[in-house]
Amino acid sequence: MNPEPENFDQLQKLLALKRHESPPPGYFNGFSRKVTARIQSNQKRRWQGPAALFLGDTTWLTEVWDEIRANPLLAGGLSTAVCAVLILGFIASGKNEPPSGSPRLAGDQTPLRGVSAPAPTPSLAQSQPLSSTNPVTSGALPNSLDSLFNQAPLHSAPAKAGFGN
Amino acid sequence: MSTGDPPTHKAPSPASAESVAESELVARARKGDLTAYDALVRRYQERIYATVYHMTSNHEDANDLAQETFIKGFQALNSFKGGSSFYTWIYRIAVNKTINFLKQRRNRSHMSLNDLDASAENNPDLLSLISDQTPRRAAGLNELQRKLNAALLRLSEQHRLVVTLHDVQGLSHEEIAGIMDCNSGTVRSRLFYARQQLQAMLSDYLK
Repeated sequence: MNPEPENFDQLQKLLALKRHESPPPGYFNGFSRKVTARIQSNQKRRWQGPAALFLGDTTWLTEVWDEIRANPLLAGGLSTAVCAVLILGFIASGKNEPPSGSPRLAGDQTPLRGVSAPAPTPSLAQSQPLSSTNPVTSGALPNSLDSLFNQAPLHSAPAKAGFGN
Repeated sequence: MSTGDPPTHKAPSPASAESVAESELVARARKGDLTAYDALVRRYQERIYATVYHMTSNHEDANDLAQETFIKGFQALNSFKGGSSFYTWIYRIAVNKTINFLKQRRNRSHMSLNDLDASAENNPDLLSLISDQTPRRAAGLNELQRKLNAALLRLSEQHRLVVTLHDVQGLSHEEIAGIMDCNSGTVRSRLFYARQQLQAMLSDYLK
């Protein structure tokens, strides 16, 4: 691998310089106090936050989010999994519907689920051309509109008006 | 190959009295005793800070990451099963946090170096590296410090980590393997290649 054995003595003397790099004097005096203060404030915030009312302890959510942010592979895997679940969901919902060309029982008037029945289109070719200035005549109305009024039979009964007698 | 091991600090052995006290502190901290956790923080704060600092070459980042390491350690104490020492476990948290941080900040790092302590100017090994180049010791050492840190930042995170833990902080290959969750052969191999790269980058300063 190497033609001659490596000698790292000089490099290690140089690396010894790193051991002389020190933080400002007194830096560690308050370090642990800062850590415990942050732990206490985190604990208070965790149980006072609005999300805590519904979710309880949300630390795990933060940790999961941090992990996802720090790990691109994990983020990619999760998004692929979510996409796969969505696609499978679409496919599964499509399989529940009968195919559009499937035979139906005679007299079966129920509309296909998920497929809106086409609205009856008036045959305008048989009627006079309509414009805003034409009077509305019975002939101008499409036949299908008549059925709107014929479907519910109206019952009339003589009114019995009383005047307090 | 010269290993040239630096002076090592001993990790607390499981049987030592210090370790027993540590397990008690961990047990109390796990129940929410912040005084006990404060004692654990004070025990390891300097080593954790130093590891993060040498990885980032930035005091402010090291300060934040070291604090966050201990905060996360407290939150995750219930997941600490005691299979390794608390020392190895908290080191692992610090290393993971730092590597994640460095990956997010890739190519956007800047140095904020700590001052060299006074004893650096009296270190004959260091003086031998600069004596021919500059009449002023402090200036020469500061330039050397900047060049060394810049070279370290050019290493990959894994290579920088083994150099930091072994050559700067004096951990053994086995301890590093425990922290990095790999075998000691991998640690030796990474250390060798990291040193080779550093040697090439700093050849002007190495006689």
